[in-house]
Amino acid sequence: MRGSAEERITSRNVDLSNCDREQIQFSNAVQPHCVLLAMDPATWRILQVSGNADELGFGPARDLPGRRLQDVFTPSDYQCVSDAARKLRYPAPPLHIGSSTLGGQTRDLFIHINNGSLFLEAERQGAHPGVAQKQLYDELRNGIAQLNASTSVVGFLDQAVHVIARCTGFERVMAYRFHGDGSGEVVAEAVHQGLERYLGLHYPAADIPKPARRLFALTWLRHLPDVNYQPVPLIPEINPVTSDLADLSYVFSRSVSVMYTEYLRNMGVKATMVLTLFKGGKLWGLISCMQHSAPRHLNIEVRAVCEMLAQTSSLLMSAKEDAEFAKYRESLSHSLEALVHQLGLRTSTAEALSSPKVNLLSAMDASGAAIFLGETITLLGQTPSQSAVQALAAAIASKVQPVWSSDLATRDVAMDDETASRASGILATRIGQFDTDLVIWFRPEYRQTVAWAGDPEKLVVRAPGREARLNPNGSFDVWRTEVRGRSKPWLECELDFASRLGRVILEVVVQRSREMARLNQDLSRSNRELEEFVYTASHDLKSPLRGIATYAQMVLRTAADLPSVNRERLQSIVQLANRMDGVIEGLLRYSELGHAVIRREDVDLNEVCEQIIELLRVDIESTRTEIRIPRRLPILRCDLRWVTQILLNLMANGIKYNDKEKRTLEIGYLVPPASTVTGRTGPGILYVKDNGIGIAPDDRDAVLRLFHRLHADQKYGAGTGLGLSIVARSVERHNGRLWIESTVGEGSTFFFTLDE
Amino acid sequence: MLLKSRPILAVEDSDQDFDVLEMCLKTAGVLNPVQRCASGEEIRNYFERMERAAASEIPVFVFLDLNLPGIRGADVLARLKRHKTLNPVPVVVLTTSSQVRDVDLSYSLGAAGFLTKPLDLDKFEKMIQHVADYWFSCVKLPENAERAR
Repeated sequence: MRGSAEERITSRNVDLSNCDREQIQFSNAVQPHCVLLAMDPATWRILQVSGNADELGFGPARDLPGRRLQDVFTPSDYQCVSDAARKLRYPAPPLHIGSSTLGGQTRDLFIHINNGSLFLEAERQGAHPGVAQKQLYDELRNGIAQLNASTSVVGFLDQAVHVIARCTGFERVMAYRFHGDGSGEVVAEAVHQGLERYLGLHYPAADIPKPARRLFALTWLRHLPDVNYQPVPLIPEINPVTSDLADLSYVFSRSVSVMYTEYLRNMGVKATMVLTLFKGGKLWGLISCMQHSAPRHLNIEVRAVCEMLAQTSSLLMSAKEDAEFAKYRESLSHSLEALVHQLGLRTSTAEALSSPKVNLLSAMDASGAAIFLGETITLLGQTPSQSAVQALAAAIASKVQPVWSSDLATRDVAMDDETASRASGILATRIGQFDTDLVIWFRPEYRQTVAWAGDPEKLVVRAPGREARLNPNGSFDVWRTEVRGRSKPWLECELDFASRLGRVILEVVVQRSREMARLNQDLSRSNRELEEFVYTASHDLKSPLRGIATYAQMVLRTAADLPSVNRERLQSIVQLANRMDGVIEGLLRYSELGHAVIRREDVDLNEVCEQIIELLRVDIESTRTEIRIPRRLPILRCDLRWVTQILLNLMANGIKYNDKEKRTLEIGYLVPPASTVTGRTGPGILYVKDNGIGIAPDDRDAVLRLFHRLHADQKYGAGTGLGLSIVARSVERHNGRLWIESTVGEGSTFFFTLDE
Repeated sequence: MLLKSRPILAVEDSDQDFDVLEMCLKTAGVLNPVQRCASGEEIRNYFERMERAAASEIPVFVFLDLNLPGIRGADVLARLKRHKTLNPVPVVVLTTSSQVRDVDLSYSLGAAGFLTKPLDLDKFEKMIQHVADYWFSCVKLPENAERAR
């Protein structure tokens, strides 16, 4: 015997702790519905037989080893076996070479070669064909057509289990899928009424241990017609050629692991058949058929059809899964394009990533997302609380280089249960120059999203111990414990999506800041140019204007004999030139206001008003306007020059637009009452009030507009249409507010503040 | 050296403005010859000529318009103040501008005064009258004694 007996785990010493190392291929026994002969393929000398070999009618089993096959079998049977043996490729699953009547029973014969021995299995014919032979091929054809028509992998497997249930008559057929960690999940199920449903059940990796997976991967089909069978040991125990236990890896009638039969017994299963699903040469899943009411032995024809179905299913399913995955990848890349488009349109990155149309969660299989950019946090979907999300971001910030993911975030970051349930899975990508500029996706804990059709109540009812463990409830319980705190794993294409999005956002942000810098440069250049232009233009306009005005005045002086009509026209020229000069001067002021720096200092408004009254003295006296200042004006922090402009323009207007016999102009200051909430007073309000012609409500906005004049040239003296625009802009540059209260025919009050 | 015989320089591109200025000076009783530079080129030539000028050729004062073709008024002022022979001569800016930045810049470059040309002829005359009174009757002007010898 090779290796030490202590090390080798076989059916004799297997338990839950070591079943992952059980060498099932060395079970050294078969199931009773088959007789096994192991031979030397060169001499056809029989090396070992199963204890039930007497059933073949060649005498007692123990007498067969040492004899040659041609001395035992009929010449035709021997011919059949030896002819087939020449075509064998090794090692490969057993080849069905035909049937023969042996010991009064029809038996199907199978041969294969493994480890230098030729194995012949003679199987009693199955007593329970699923459907009539004639219908079987129709079922197969229709089944494959239906499989082809299904659109999703799960839909496909649902079709597959129903087709197989019809073909075999098994009471339960489940499709079982392996995950990357070796655990598995029932993804489709066809089950008779009254039986417990297992759809959605998850198994821990230990329930289909590695050795079992290895053996499943060797064949398309395994059949256990009677779970409660009595294993039939091999005689002699040791293979005389290899001096070891025979390697029964490919023997389909091999006695199975006691762990497996115990599990099946706990489920109340009497017979099983397991088909394998492969993808790209790897075991992808299983289709597991079960009979609960009685043992069930399927004949080779039905099994062959099932095997074909399993092979076809594997091919079709691989294609379906690839297509589904491709669709997901495609939707990710479409959403990336849409997000990039939005990033281009919107000025705010966070807005672009969270718009209702397309956002971070549109394509990504995640339940929540967060955007950290500068000081702002934007949350989308199902996320932990904002403070928890902030703490998570701070904890992972240094790991995101430029992408970081975890499907067991509780291991990487400290968090409370509430947070963990929503952020078991974290995928993060850098989107800015700082570590904390992140986009984060969240996945909930996986087990909370799993719904098992089974009855979880039984978890508590069953007594602890080995028996309680080896059943679906025990499996689910173990699986739930194993995946505590885990989310569904992040896929390569999702990491790729995150990293590409991060890169794009970084580029957009960098590009945008470059763009801003360029725009700023352009703006300040065009501001300078505009300033130059206005300055030069005003000089070029003013110079000829002064020529016109002064020459007209010279002519007026010297030509004493000029007819009065011409004298008036010359005077008009002078007046018009003056007005145009005023317009140019106003424009200069207005443009200067655009870029002038507001220099605030303590300005005594009483002094300002005195100066303005002095400036306007001629107008005040000629109109006999009474100037009222009800109480001392305050000292305010503002720009002296522009506040003078504001008051000058408002006061000049108040005097000008008045047709009353007794004209008044009031300059005052209001302190608003203190806020009942903060106890602070708002900014003081200044006002200039006249009893003049008033402004109609419809005109109140218009008066503030550039060059907008309400009155004909000569009425109320010609204005430039600039005065109030300059007032409005000066107030605006002080961050103040300007508003008008007026009654037509009674007067107007202009209110303004200088800081809010 | 008699002040009355030395020239007054007007740096002025506008013919009308120069015409009006001459008239106003006459009205104010100023009999000094008025020399004129109307462009950057003329100014540069004038500066060159003045480097070797006799004391009698140095102007009593200068009227300077800030807006000139071919050269910036502020540059003319700066160069006047650095000029070998012209630097002591008072420069009175006489311009259309009333912009704060022009006023500030002119004084910082050494202007002796800043006048904004009014549109009104009477006001213009009055302004020139004040200037003439001030420079000829109130203050003592540089004599260029060094160069007179």
